[in-house]
Amino acid sequence: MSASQSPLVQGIKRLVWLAGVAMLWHMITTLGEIPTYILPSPGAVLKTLLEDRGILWFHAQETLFEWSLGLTLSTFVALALSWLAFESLSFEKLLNRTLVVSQSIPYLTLAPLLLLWFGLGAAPKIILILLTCTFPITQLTLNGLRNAQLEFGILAAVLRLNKNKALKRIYAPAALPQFFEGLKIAVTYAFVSSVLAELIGSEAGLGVYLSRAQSAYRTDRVMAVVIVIVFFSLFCIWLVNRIARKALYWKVEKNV
Amino acid sequence: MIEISRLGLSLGQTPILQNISFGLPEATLVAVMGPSGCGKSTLLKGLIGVLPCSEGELKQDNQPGISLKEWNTSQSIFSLVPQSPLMLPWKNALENILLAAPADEPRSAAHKRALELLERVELSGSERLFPWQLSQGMAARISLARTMMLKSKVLVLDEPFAAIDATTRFNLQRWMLDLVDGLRQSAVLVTHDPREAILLADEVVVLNGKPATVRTRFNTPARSIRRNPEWIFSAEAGALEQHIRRALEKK
Repeated sequence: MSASQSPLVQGIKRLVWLAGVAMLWHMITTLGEIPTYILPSPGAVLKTLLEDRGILWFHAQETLFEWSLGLTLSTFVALALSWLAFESLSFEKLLNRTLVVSQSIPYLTLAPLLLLWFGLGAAPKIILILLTCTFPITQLTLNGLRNAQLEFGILAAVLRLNKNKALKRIYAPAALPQFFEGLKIAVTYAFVSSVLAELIGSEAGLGVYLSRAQSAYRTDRVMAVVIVIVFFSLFCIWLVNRIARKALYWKVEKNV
Repeated sequence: MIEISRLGLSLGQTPILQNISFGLPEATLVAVMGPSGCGKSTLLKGLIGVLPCSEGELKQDNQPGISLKEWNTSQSIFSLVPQSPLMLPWKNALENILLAAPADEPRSAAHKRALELLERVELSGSERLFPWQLSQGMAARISLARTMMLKSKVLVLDEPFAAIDATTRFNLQRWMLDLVDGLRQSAVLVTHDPREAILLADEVVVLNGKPATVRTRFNTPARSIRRNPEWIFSAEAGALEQHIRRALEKK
């Protein structure tokens, strides 16, 4: 994305791109005479989207609730873990192994267990989000802190700052860009994790809608919910990007 | 007046520095030179207390000497001006200098002093500039002002102009010569550039050997003579440079 383009030009470009994809999609379904249960036309999906907007919004609220609570908790846990790992090398080693193990578990197999233990409410989804999202935030934040220590360690010594003050004044702000990188990854992970857990078993959420649509061969509804998920993911990324740009004014301006 | 005598420093069992002595009268600059790898940086780390010295004594004015073995980073006699400016990119010039304000100094007093230091390094009016808006030379001067903010007796300059392009470096060296003149602090300049040493320093100490000891030392002509822009090209300066280069050769 070049900075020289005005938001209007960018918006028009995106709309043209979107319209092009929809046109192609429409042509494939009509010219290929593909039945609706295999691939519905964009018009049919749009119609379903409008008809089901009430029920979609009801489910989306549940997913958004899980997403926001899960992501907030993950962020706090990740910050605490990266701080502890920064302070203690032995803890870092322990943490690295635990995180690698936790990341090598296929979550599709873990989700049913979580449901069995914690029921059909929001709890198992939030735990799943914690498991998937803590890793990228912790890893990148810790990486940022370590890099900052390498770069500015001499400065901390020159200024005679003790470890806490050096962390507060130098290392933590310097690690902020990396933290936001981790958060951006976590934002999409969290969305996928909660929908995945809902798909396996839940009382409400976009995953529930998705699973019902799938078992009824309502591909128009499947496509509609995919669009909703993509829309929310894009919105969440946009939100984090906005916050990051405000917080990292010094990094943004440097690139201009 | 600060005097370092018989400083020795070992890394593990290997002696790196041995029997190094020099005096630092107020408002003077002593240049320490040596072939690369001889232990200049080690000396500097010993002075600021990052590495423990194994021998030596420090005398301040007429007070009884302090053993350098007990030297550590909490001592505030020596303060380093690091090789690269290390500006924090999210802070402007003034805030970067204020980082070095002592914790017990009132905010307004620190602010006033930081502005004075900016004026001292001829950057008045640049206080709101962020690091990405500063030239290399400006960043080097702000880094210097930041270390001066620490109010230590001796500034330790670690090749502060090494990473700067030749023209800017030349101007900074001239500027530095004027700055030293108005300084109450003394300074130790570690450099690998013989011209920089004879232009800026009142005394040049050349280290060499393993472990490194003082190979040669001499006083340069008075500052009023060195200030003459032509002096550095004179036969006298050339002879001094030659003398240093010979002392830097490995024997």
